[in-house]
Amino acid sequence: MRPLNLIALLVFLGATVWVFTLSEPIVRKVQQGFYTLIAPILKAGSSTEQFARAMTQEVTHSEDLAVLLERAEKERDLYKLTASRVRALEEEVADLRSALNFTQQAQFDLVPARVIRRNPLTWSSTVTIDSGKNKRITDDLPVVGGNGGLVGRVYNSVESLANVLLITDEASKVSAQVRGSPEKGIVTGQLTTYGQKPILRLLYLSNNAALTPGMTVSTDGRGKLFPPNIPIGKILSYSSGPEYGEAVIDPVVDFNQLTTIFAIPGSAD
Amino acid sequence: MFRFILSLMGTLLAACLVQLFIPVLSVFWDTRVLLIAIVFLVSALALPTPGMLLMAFVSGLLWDMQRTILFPPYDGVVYPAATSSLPFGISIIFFGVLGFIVQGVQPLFRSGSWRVSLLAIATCLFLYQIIEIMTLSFVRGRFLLTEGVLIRISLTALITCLLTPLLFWLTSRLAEACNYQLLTQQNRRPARYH
Repeated sequence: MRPLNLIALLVFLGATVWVFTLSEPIVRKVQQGFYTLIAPILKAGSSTEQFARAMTQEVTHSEDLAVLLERAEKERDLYKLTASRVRALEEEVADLRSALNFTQQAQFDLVPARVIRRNPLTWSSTVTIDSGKNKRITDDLPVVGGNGGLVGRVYNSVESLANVLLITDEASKVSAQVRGSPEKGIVTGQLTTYGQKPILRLLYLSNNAALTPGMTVSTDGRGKLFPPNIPIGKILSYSSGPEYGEAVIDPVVDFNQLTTIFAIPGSAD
Repeated sequence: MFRFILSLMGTLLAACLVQLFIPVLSVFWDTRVLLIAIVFLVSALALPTPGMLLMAFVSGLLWDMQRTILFPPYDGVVYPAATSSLPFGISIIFFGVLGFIVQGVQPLFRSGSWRVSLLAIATCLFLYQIIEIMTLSFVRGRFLLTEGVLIRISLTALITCLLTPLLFWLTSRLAEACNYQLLTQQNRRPARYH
């Protein structure tokens, strides 16, 4: 090895070791600086993603319409297209009404935010939202969906945007209870791939827990990370292991259709 | 050479910004375009070892600033197991290792044989994701490399490496503008990359 290459390798290794020894607050500050810098670009980028999503939906929709086109005349198809757009708008209005109704009925103080980026990280389930510290959305705040179900937890919040770690991520942990049963455990996510519906796992249950499919799982407020009684999902199945039992949960929130979420300020410990 | 490294660094920063505009390709098994990784790999082919290591450091740092999720410690009484994730800075090592691998075909790249270089880059993109998921499996104690994940990794490598010819062209242009000798003298043939 040439002396210059050896020196470069040693400097590289030294710099890497230095990065590894950085404390968490410093890493957090570095990340916040990075996100503050890219926030305006990220917001602009979100419109590109939304356009791409709309395009994808349109392509799928066009395929459906192509089948109908063979059976109907051109003029009739134009009306069908218009009708489908009206339906989409109706659904959007229904979603917004539901979200508005939820905000009015909720027992918490809620701050709404729009999802501007989905799953930007390769192996983590996260979303980026268009509000941050400017709207009282700070790190560790719990986040719920339009139907009141638990969505996740805020991290890396900067002035005008924040990220949310979804409860479907493997790194997410939520203390939970099964309603109508004394069972308590920890809900964690699972890595899913294309076409799979996100599911959750409820760990550390009793080995002989009397749990049946359909039972509701909600937060229990232990650890003070999440307020109690936020719905998480319904039990799909339960299996006992050598030490603990484990249940598979179907989340109440449709994570593929997240558009508006609500942070609960003042709830983080 | 200094100017060439600076121009590649600029390209890397631009790639980091463009990456923000690229959505997940949900119609192709949720694949992604790993722009930072591919810009680094093409740079590693074009640069000598010290330059490659500098690029690996910057690329890894940029990648980890987006990837790392830090939370304050969970309540140990309520949450029995700590959340395990890849530490901040691990990508620097991954990029460094891949940089050395891809430099193995640098003589071929410098002689103008772009096909082997493209194959090496595609392999490294695949390897990069495999190393990442295997390390994640190791720290979490659960095997995460399923069939679906493997398909996603393969498609991501395939789709990302489609950008390689464009980046080869861009690199050769930058080298030309910076008076950096990308091809070895005896193999300098016009219109090889452009």
